[in-house]
Amino acid sequence: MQLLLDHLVSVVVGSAVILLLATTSVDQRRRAAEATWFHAAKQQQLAFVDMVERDFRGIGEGVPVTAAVVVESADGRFRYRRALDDGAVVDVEYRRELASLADGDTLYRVVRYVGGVATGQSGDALTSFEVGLRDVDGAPVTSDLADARTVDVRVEAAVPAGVGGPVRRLAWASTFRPLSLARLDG
Amino acid sequence: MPQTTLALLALALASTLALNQSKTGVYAQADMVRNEVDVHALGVATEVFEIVSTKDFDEATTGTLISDVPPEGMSAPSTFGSGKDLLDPGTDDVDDVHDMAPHRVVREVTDPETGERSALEFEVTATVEYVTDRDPVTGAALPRVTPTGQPTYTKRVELTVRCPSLRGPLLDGYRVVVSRLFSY
Repeated sequence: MQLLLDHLVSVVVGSAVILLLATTSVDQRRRAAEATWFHAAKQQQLAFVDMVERDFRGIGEGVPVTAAVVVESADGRFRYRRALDDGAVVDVEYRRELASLADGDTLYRVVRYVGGVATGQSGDALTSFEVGLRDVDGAPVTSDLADARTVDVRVEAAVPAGVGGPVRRLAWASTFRPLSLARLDG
Repeated sequence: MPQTTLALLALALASTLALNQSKTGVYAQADMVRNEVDVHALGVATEVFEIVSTKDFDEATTGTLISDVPPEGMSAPSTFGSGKDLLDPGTDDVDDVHDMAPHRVVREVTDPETGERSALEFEVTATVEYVTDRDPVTGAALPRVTPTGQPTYTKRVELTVRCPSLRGPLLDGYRVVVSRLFSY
């Protein structure tokens, strides 16, 4: 009887240990995958933000003072002018496009067009891309785009569902002060 | 008896593993929060660099062509800093931001599930130094830009972004350091 009881206890304890080890191992793999996804989401967003930074700092570069610099600023669309290295003035446009509907989120990509040709884009997981213009007093510009002096940009990306625990969004926001807009004040 | 000892050992081993795993989970979660705040902090740093870029290169070059002022005519590093805020009108050239009063920026964070809004506060401080890519004695090219005590046409602004709203045993002392060269 004693022997049987010993065997029974061994089996129960052994099973519990095996179950615990298996759970731990699955959990470890899940965490490793999450960390990788999260890192990829962050890198993808930073790469897009890097493009935005370089572009927006050069808004209106090489464009004659009298010409319009910001041509269009609407929900999900932003278009401005700048000169290329050869002096030709082109329109650069950022356009938000629907990428997918997932987990209740509407996900977008933002495509960058130069002279109507797509030359770059963000990842497919943006939840928001907002560009706002402000005048010399910091008030939002609603009608006359020539009043714009600073450009507010906000880019928000979703972290893949189930990843990141409490973190569900990666948000980046900044304000640009392009020289070409400042020079309008002399 | 041997079975009981073995069972106890196995339980101890499994418990240790489970505890370790749980600790790793806490670290991973803190890491993700830090990563999220990193993205915000980089945006804040960009914003501050943009403000700095609107300022004159040096007090001596205010209202004049920079090429008209020789490097030795520029501010000595010992005179850097105004102790004022970044947006103060007295902070009018790049080196005035050296040891400036901490500049505060607040970013709004929205929970996508509950819609609840909260604020993340950032604090930015700066240091400024002259740098050069030439050996001051021989004039030979250096492998990287190096700080120098002599005025040059290039200043490096280093920003330290802290997030006082971020508290916790694994999050205290959080900061991001970024630098940019200003040259004309």
